[in-house]
Amino acid sequence: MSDILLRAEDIHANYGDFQAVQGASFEIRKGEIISIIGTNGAGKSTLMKAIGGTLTPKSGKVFYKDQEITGMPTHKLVDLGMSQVPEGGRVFARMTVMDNLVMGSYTPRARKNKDNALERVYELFPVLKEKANQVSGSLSGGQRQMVAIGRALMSEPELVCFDEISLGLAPTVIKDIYQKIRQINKEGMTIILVEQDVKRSLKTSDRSYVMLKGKVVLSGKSSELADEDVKKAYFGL
Amino acid sequence: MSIILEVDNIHVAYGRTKIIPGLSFNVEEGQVLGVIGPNGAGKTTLMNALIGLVIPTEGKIIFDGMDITKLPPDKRCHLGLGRTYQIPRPFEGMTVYENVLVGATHGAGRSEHKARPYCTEVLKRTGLYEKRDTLAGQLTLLDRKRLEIARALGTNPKILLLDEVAAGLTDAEVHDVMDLVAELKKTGITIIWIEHVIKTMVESTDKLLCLATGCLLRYGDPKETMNCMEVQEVYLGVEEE
Repeated sequence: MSDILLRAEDIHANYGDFQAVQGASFEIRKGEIISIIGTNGAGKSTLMKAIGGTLTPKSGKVFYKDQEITGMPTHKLVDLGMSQVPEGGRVFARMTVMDNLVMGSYTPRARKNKDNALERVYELFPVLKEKANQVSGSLSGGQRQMVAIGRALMSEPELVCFDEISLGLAPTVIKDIYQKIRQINKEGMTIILVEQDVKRSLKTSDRSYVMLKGKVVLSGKSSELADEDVKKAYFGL
Repeated sequence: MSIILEVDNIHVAYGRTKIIPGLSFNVEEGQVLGVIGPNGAGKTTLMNALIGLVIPTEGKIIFDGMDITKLPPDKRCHLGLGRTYQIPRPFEGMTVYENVLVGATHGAGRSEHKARPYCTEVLKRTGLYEKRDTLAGQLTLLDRKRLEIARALGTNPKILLLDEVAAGLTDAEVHDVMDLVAELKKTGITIIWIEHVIKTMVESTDKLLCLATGCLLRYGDPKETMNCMEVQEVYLGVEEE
């Protein structure tokens, strides 16, 4: 088996005839962090939905560990080892922190290991252990984001997609969360970062893809992408 | 050139959340003004304040010499402020022609008799005349966007506000929209255009205004606006230590 964990080939994805993704390809190897960057409306989140099972691509193919997963429903993808932290966290606001986390280990594979996974999440975010019995809706934005990350990790994934994790959070909180992302990557997790914060995601990721109007217009090693080229691709100028 | 719209220190909030904490700028008659800014910059809120869907808590909006700050949307429409919506919602069971007629009668306050020739002209101008008898629900996205513009034009606006008309279109279709805007500009109408596609904005506007957290970051020549360090930073983020 190749070391490519996920491969998306020429994805087109629409909302009705609104063409949000107009031919985008990328791949991610085991252990990598890649970032997918672009302005609002570039099609980043739609691309994530198209590979994550919440939106079936109009055309194109997605492979996970060489198995085609195009259009596979999200819960099956979670069982295969692919998990998501959606934009805005989207925690179950009326449920406690612990119940939210436990929801993440709903699949049969993860359920067996629930207690260990919970311990790991509490180690990563000690504040969640302190607030385990508090309803999630009463948490700060940053803490809710931690719950969302913890919930994704509870399914014991190999690959986690983070959608706009820094949106609306205070800079110090963002720094904190990014440090945790690096940490879980060092522990072996493969990570996709979808971001508007270009500088931060370039700094964090191994490779980057820049999207513009539904297409990938630039890609390469994050450390080797020239500022000018990124700017040009990002703004399309 | 004369000033057709004056935004004077407006403050806009939704409940306790302040979206625009004091914003001022002028729009010259006959110009195409582009409005850009990252998520949450206040672009849509500005649009809503201009059109009357939300009333500023402070400040004034002067349109064509008249204070419209507190006027409801229908009154503003009669005075000559027309807008399009990001997601076109035409009357799908009505024809293209009938859709424009609604704008021209109810929106502009014309009698149907007087509105008819005007509708025909608008349909020709927006490239929809051949499809005038097609049901709006059967149009492609590009044509629905054209119809969105045609409906707004039906109200005979002096200022046309465009909200993301290029979103979801292919490159070729975006060019069609850009051509249409250029044609409309020739008729002397003033256009305020919100769009995320920066390239389109730079190529199609006379002036570009960049908003960030509800404040004016830069307003001027489109290329100069995009070359501005602060504008690039709100999009790309700031280099950390």
